Amino acid sequence: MSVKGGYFIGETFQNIRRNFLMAASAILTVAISLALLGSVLLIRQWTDTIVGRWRGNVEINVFLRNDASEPQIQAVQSKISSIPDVKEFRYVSKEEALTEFQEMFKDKKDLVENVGPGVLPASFRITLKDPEEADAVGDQIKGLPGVDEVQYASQTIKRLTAITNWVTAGMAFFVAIFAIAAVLLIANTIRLAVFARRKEIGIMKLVGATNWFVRVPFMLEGLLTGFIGSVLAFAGIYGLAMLTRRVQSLAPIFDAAVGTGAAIETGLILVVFGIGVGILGSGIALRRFLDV
Amino acid sequence: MITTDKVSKVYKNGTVALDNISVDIQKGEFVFVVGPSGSGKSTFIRLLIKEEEPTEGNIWVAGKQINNLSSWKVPYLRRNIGCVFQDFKLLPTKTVAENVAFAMQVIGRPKSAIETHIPQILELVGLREKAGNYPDELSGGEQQRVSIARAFVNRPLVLLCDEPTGNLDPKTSTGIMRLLDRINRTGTTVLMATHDHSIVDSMRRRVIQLEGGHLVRDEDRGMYGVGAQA
Repeated sequence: MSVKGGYFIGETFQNIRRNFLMAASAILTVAISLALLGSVLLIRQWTDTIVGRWRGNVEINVFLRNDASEPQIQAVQSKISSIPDVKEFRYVSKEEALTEFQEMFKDKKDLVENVGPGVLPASFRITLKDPEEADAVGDQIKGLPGVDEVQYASQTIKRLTAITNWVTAGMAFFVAIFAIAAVLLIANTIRLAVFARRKEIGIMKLVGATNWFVRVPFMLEGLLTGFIGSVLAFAGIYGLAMLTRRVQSLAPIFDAAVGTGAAIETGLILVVFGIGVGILGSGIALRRFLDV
Repeated sequence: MITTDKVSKVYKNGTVALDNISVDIQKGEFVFVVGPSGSGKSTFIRLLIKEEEPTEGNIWVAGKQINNLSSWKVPYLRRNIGCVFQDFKLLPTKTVAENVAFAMQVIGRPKSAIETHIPQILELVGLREKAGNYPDELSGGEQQRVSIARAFVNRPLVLLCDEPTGNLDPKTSTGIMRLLDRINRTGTTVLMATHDHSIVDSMRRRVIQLEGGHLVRDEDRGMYGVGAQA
């Protein structure tokens, strides 16, 4: 086996050297397609984390019209207290809203100075027993007289989920196209390698080399192409994950950095995919172009 | 060692390359297959190494019936058969020694065996000093010796030669024939397709003559042609 092992490795690298440009473009295509796949996986993970966190503390804000009368407000309040899904609620008057606002933006003088009394509406803040019921509760309050707007995070969640679904679907489409391109490029690289060595292959078959002996260097070449490409993609994804952490430390509002663990996990998935793409590509080439 | 029983080969375009050929070649024999171009000599050799399948009939080589041999066993059949061609089929990027060693490498022989066998076989074909040269630095006769060394290095039971002297001048050809004769004396069966009259006539070995795919003569210690043709 030692002779064979050395032989196979030597032949594999010779093939890659001979066809360096082809091999390089195949490797880059693998890297790009897998980096895209990795991004899709990470984005999914990221949005799942955010959505999950938001779901946990859904609060409904019922903003009242500025011209809402006292009886209307009373009616809204009694309606809210009659809904069984409501855990607790609180009335926030215009004055309280202003105080809260001034507290929240005390660093930004211009902002505070521009917002005078009466600009911010009064509101009810409702916490639910079950966040899933936000829609049902919201619908019951929406049309009441004196109510201006009912806001709750689940709308945002829905919108975010819809957007990420579209984004991931779009990216998955490109991932598929790039993956096919990667397989075909690898197949073509192997085809050229087979063509460059057809004389040798002929002699090998003539003196009784087994079919597997002829195939192995080419299979290794495909596998190596996929592997190197996936390692590049791994590095890219890892860099991206580290970047999200940097963004988080600069702007804490982005409360969803990708953890190192998740990045490595995704990277390993990419490596498996890369090797798969490599084997598939060389398999196709050998089936079609190597008559053994 | 080689037996064909009513073997015919019709190519897809309808050409009848061989028609009802039955021969029986014993171990250690030296046999010429003669005939003009297109008489079926090359097809006959291609059938023996299973590069072509017979349309009809059965073939035995080295004790095995090969016409129904499954394809994964073909490499093992070929390890019993050495092949020498008119165009040498050497790898230009490998040295003489590497070209010969290649035949041992690809069937998985250990490095130690390769290191002991290569000098011996190069000695046998008289190219010991040219071990490090590349094929394009050699004469035609020397290149053919390399290809014979490669065909013989794994000690096959049968050596098949398709016009081995076709590209060589008469003097060089004589040298090659001496080498093939020497290999034959080790007990290796040699089958050589040729249309070189003088070689066949001077060696006086068994002659199988093909004409248009038919077996027209099978004669011990024969000449190239019969009677007036000789």
